Parts: sequence; structure tokens; C-alpha cells
Amino acid sequence: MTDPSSTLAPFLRAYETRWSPAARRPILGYLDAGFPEEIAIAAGFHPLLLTADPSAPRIETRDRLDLSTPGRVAQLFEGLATGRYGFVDLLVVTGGDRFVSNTYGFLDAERERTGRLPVAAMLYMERAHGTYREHRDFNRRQFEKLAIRLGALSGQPVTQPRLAEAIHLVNRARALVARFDALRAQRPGLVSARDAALIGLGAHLMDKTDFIAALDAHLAALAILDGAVPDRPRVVLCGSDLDHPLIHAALDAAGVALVGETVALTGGYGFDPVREDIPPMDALADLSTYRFPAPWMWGRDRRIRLTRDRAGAARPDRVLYLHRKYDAGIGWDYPDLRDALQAQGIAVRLIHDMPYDIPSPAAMQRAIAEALA
Amino acid sequence: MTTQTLSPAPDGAALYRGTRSIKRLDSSAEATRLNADYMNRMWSEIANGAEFVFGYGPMELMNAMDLFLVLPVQYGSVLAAKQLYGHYQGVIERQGYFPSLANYETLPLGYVFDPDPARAPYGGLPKPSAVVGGFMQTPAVYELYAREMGAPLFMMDDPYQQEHIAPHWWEHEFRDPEIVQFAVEELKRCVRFLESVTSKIYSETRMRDYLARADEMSRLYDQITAMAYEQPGPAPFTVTDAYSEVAIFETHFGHEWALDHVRRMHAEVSARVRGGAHAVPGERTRLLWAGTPMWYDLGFYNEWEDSHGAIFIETMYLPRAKRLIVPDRSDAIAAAFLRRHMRYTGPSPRAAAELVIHQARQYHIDGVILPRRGPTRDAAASSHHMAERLRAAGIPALMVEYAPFGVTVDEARALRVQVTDFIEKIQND
Repeated sequence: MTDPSSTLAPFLRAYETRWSPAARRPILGYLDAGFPEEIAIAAGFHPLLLTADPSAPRIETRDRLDLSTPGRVAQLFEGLATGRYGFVDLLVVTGGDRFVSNTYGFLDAERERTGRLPVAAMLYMERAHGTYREHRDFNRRQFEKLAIRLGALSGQPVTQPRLAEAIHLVNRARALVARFDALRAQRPGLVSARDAALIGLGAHLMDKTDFIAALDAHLAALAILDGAVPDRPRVVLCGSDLDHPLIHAALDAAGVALVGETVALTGGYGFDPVREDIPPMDALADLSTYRFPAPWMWGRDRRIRLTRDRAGAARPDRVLYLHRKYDAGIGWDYPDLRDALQAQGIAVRLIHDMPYDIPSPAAMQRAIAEALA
Repeated sequence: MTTQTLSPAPDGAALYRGTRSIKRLDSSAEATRLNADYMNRMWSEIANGAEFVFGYGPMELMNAMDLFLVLPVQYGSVLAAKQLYGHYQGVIERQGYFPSLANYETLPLGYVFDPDPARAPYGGLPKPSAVVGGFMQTPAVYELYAREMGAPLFMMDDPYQQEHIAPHWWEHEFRDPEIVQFAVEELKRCVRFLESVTSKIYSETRMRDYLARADEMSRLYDQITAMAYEQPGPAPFTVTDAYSEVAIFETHFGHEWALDHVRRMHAEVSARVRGGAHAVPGERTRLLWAGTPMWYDLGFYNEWEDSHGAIFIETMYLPRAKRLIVPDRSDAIAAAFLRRHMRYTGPSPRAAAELVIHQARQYHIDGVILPRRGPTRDAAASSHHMAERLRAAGIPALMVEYAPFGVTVDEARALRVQVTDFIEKIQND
């Protein structure tokens, strides 16, 4: 019998080595959950989410960005400027979220200032904000251009078969995450919130084949565990995106069972498979345009409805809505989302204007415990 | 970090009450009067049922379609100027929205949630014919406006960032043709939408007439700027006259009366230059304010004229005029779009720095003051990078904190000390 704590080890290792990963292929760094990683895989790259550091002080770039910069972007820039992501062979900055996309401009300025980029190379890819047909076509053209450029850089052209194969591989990972998410909702407390976050982040950090093997093994280990789990309040996490497990660890400390989350990076990987029965670039363009609307996309009402449905599907006792300071993307969804959840009998607890930086995990833990009390 | 309850409304904030600015040009008073006349007429006609659009879009297009356009940021700044920021931001927060989301663009939501015409300037905002989202920082806000106002909504996408911006980008067309084509098509769909939901029509011929006048205005503004700033020695007017012109510059391009006004301004400035009439005869130091003005304290910009012979000039408005000229009007909607789109370079601190260095040299600037923007814009790294590049180019630069809604008395005092020290250091070096 395999102990789940040992099958969790690959995910923990991936997170602990996120700033010094060992990869078998050139590393392509990306900054947000909607990046079309299938194209990167088809071109022979290892796509890897760049995660910031909420617990570190900003020293090098503290005065270089203005007040309005959201904390994660500021911390990413700090990490980039100080060489933390020097292992990245290629950074692809995507449009859409105007703050995240500004990272490109920050680094462009950094190149002028220091005479070199803190990553080996950098590209920018624009994305449309809406769901008009022309937006989907625009996204498709951007993907095609990206595929050509990545293929030229890696020497492995992105062919239809390679892209189809990459989609299939990523879909297998997404399907496993969906199974894992269902298990969390069925057996609350079986998996800690922090472990779930590590798995969610692992999908963005690990080689896909390794991730699939690891999650397969972990699910098998969980399946044979005794069914008895502690009776804890069921909580779903909604709100601003997270690229670290510190909030999740605080939820564990608060004694609740996280049965689901709509937070993209740690909890959204299993939601949207890519169709495999249509041409692969069309399928990617469709998904990018018509999926669950990212906070920077149009479609506030649709996002609220889907968030309500996804949160509700996990049958929570309460939802914790966590808003990071200056996060205007999801910030304007509240309070309508609150009302939609409450109409379904789900209590909503709120923490708003929370800084990205967490200098004191204990204080943050207290705030979360108070909010959930 | 706040849990559970939202912060109290900011009604109690004690803000510094700014001083009045000094205007030297007759045309400044005229600009203020003409804009006030237009705004009074607009609000009066809107109150009487005239069709208007709430949101963003090329001003020349709305003018050519005979549609009033009320910009959220414009009405938000009026609310702030009438000392109603605290009230309306408080209303927004009591609805459940978060304090860190506040800015001029969102402040009119306060009126929409609390539509009391007796309290609001100009009798409030009636229901618009349409809400148009364009140049959006926060798309969800426009969706909220449309819902709360009960108006049809058109969202217009306008990607405004690209991988490469060529050196001297302001001297030639630098924009990615694919991005331009995509955004122009969005605008064309918006025109059809506006024709569908209003009684107004779009005429390509009329649009070209407006654009021709708009380009003529741009050329005149460019010549005015050149006359005023490109010669060393005392300038004929300062930033406070330029800021008086902003309402015309930002909202009335293409109107015949606006062109007539700019012609008069051009004649007046020409006469002052010919006659040696200086704004500050003892001008010793010329400072560039490279960012959004402190609208609540315009007198600030005149405060060092007598004591230090220091004047301010600006970089955001009249010096931008040349970049707005689009001679090819064969596709008038495209030309209207190209006048406006990506003429700001906030997302590229490198491009912004290159321009401000160019302007500082072109306008014989002794020092540049860069207001660090608060949580209202996404040009988050520009000011610091511009300051670094300016200093590397041998041009003194000072960064100051910028507060969009006003500053406290202590903050206003501290800012003045900073600026005085900066000027004296320039003068003593």
C-alpha cells in the first residue's frame, strides 16, 4: 500500500524547485493560467508558470514600479530583475490582463537600463478580450504566429500531428485533475488544501508526462485510504488568483475542508479540456475565447454565473471570497457573485483588499480564521 | 487587509484646497467659456432628452455623428471637483465594492447607485442611448454601467501593446498593422451599433469634414507649441494656459467653433511671440510636468514664477497634437481611430522615456518632474524609468507622488518643499 504522503512528493518537489527546475527540454516561462501551453509542448518546450514570492521583501525594484502595480506583478518583476528566473530559456508574455502584460514593458525597460534581459529571450503575444467571432479569429492568428516563432526558436516546427498530440497529453492531465477535484468534493478532508494547491500548481510547473504519472499514483494511493475523514466545514475558495499555497495552508489551519476552488492557477486546471475532434489550432482558439472568462475578459455576468455553478457544484457550507488589493479583474464581480451564491443558500465570507505580499503568515492565518469563524 | 466589513466612506478626508491658476492668454478664458457653453448646452439638452453615449470612443466620430459623449472619467472628475468623491465612493463601497478599485473612471457608479439629481452636478446622468466600452482599464465596470443604467452596451476591443516599438516612434507609423486592422473593424461595428440604437446616422463625408478640421486644429496646436516652447528664452504662456485648453483639445476636435477658437489662439500666441510678451519676463528655469495634472490644484504650477523665475510646461496635451494628424482619410473611420490609438506609450516605459528626453531637449527644459501615478493607470513603471533615462541624458528629474483625488495639507506642503529644493538645485548647479 502506497502512502499518499510519498506520492505527493513529486508535487512538493516541483514547487520547492520552481525557481531552479531540472527540465529535459528548454523552459518556456509564462505568467498566467490561460497560456496555450499545448503550442509550447508541440514546439519542444517545457512550459512553466513563473510564480512570484509573496513572503520576500521587494528590495531591488521597490521604487521602480508605481503604486498601482498589483502585488503579484511587482513580485514577479522583482524576481525577474534579480535573476531568479535566469533559468528560463524563453519568456512569453501574453496580453489580456493589462497589468500582467505590462511585465513585457517593464523587462524591455530593464534591458535598456542594464544592457541585457534577465531571461534568455522574450516574446509578446496579444489576446482579444471578448467572444465575438473576430476575437476568436484574432486569437487563432496570434496562436499561429506563436507556433511559427516557437518552432523556429526550438528547431521543432509545430505540425498538426504534434499539436494534436500535445493537446491530447494536456487533456489527460486536465482529466486527472478533474478526477482529483471530484474526489475533494466527495470526500472532504481527505486531501489538505495545501496539498491540493501543490497539485494545482504542479500542473503548471511539471513536465506533463511526469505530472500525469505522479497524479495517477497519488489518486491510486488516495483511493485505497479508509473512507473516514474528519467532519469539517466545507469551503470553496473564490476570488483573486493565487500562485502559492500559503492561503491554502491557512485554510487547513483554520480547520476547514477545502472542497473546491474557482481560483485559476491553483484550482482551475481541470475545468476546460480542449476538443480533440476538430483541427487543433481551431480547438485552442475556441477554448481560449469561449472558456470560463478570465478576470480580464469581458463577460462579467457569465463569469459570475459559471463561478456560482462551479462553486455550488462542490456543495460548500460557505465560500471564502478573497480579493487581492487592486485586483480590478475579479473585484467588480463582487457583490453580485455573493448574492448569487447566497440565493443558493451558500454563505459567503469576504476578505478584500488583501496585499499579495504576506510578510506575516501568522497574521494572515488569523485573518482567514476570523473570516471563516 | 480588511475582513468582513468594508472600510468607511472617505467623506472625512481633509484635503488641501488648491489655489487658482494664472492665465495669460485671452484664448484661455475663451476656451474655458466655450467649453462651459458646450457643456451647459450638452447637459441641458441631455436633461431634455438628447441622445448621448456614456463611455469611450473617438471623440471625432461622436462629434461627426452629432452624439454627445460623456466620458466616465470626465463625469468622475467633475464629481471629485465638486467635492463629492467621498459621498459617491462611499455609495459604491456600501454596495459592496472594494476601496482599492476606486478611480475617476468608476466614480460615476456612485451616482448610478444613488441617482439623486439634486445632489449631482448638472442634474445627474440620465439614461444614455448607449454605453460604449473602449480603451478600457476595467471592462467589468462598463458592463455594470450598462446594466445599472438600463442602456445597450457595445464593448470595443483595442489591443494597445505590441512587441516592438521602433526608435523615434512618434515620427512615423509604428503600429502593428494587424492590431490596427482588428481595432478599426471593432470601431466599424461600433458605428453600426450606434446607428442601430440611436436616431443618428454615420456619414463618411461628414466624418472626413470633421477629420479635416481636426487635423487643422492639430497643426495649429503643433505650431503654437513650437512657437511657445521650441525657442530658448521666456515663453509666451505656461502650463496653466495649456491646461485651460485641455477641454477643447480632448473633447471638441473637429467642431467648426473649436477650429475657429484655435485659429484665434494661434493668432494670439503669434502676436505675443512677435511682440516679445512673456508669461514670466524673468524666466530662469523651465520645468516639464510629465504626467497627469493635479486638476484640484492648478495654482501649484504658478507658485515658483515670482520667487524663482521658474515656469512649468506640459507634455500630455498640446505637444501631442502633431501625433494626431492622419492625412490619409480615405477610410474615415480608420483615420478617426488612428488619431487616438496607441498615442500613449504607458505600457512601454522605454518608448515613453525616449519621447520625454526628446521633448525635454526640444523644449529647452531645465528639469523634469514626473508624477508617480497612483492606482488609476497602468503605466506603472514609466515614471521611474523616465527619471533614470533623463538623468542618464544629463537632464535633472524629480519623481513626486501623484494622488488622483487630492492631497492632504501636509502632503501639499511636502510636495512644495520637494519642488523648491529641485528648482534651487538646478539653479545653483
